[in-house]
Amino acid sequence: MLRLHINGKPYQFEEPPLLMDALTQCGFEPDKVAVAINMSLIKRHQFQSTQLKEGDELEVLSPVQGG
Amino acid sequence: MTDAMKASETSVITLGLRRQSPEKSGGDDFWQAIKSLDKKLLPNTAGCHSAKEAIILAEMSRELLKTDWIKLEVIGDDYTLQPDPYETVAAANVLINKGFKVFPYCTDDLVFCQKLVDVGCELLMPWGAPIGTGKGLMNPYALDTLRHRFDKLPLIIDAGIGKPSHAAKAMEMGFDAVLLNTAVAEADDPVMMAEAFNLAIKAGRLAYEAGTMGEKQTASPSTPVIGTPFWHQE
Repeated sequence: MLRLHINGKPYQFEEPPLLMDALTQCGFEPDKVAVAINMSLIKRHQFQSTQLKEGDELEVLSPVQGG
Repeated sequence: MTDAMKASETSVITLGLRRQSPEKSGGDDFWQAIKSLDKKLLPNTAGCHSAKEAIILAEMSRELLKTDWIKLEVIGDDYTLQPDPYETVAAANVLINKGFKVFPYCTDDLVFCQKLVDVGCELLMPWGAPIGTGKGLMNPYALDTLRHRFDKLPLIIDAGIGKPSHAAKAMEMGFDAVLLNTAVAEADDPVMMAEAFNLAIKAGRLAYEAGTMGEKQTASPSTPVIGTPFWHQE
């Protein structure tokens, strides 16, 4: 069992997932978000090759209004 | 929102990044609406309290929105939303070296602004008043000093604009643009208020380019004194 946080919420996975798979399983649309893992940017072309690890902290962000 | 943006005839739209909630479709409606306007985007780093946070958020914005422009906000005080000058300058330095075009949110402090210019900022965005207060230009003397000391640099009044007259005043003083949100968003009729700002900004800029008269301490009649009727020599 692998445990990590996405946007501050705890998630569990049976096996260490790829970032792309984790995003899809959790209901995110990967082409509409920006992602950082442990305060480091993950570029979109890296989503398919990035293996998540125990304790990772993910930020999954999308645009909102604001000045 | 889009009607107000159209009425304002703005050329740049600011936006932020926030945590997406999959169950709420993560602000997709907003993003689609913004894209339909086909305006230049200026993502911000609102909510960041350190250079480290601002840098990663800027990188995420660039990755998602495909723009090197970033409105750099690093807050130093949560009550006044005053920027942290040390963290802002540090973040600006790193981001410029990473190829960003940095629009720094700053106060009207001359030395803070000079430090931003020293690390490579090609424009400045001093506040008129604290974010969301709508108090207008609280320190015209300091802002006028900035305008004269950075006479070749684009200067944008960011934050504190509450009424169209505030925007007109800023433009009359020679500022190049104003950036505002709350004054329109919280108006009873945001579309009408956006149009009012549009007109005020144009009027202020025209007045600046026309050259305003100098102030005088004493009254001066605008009608010629020579030929005044009913006057006679004693």
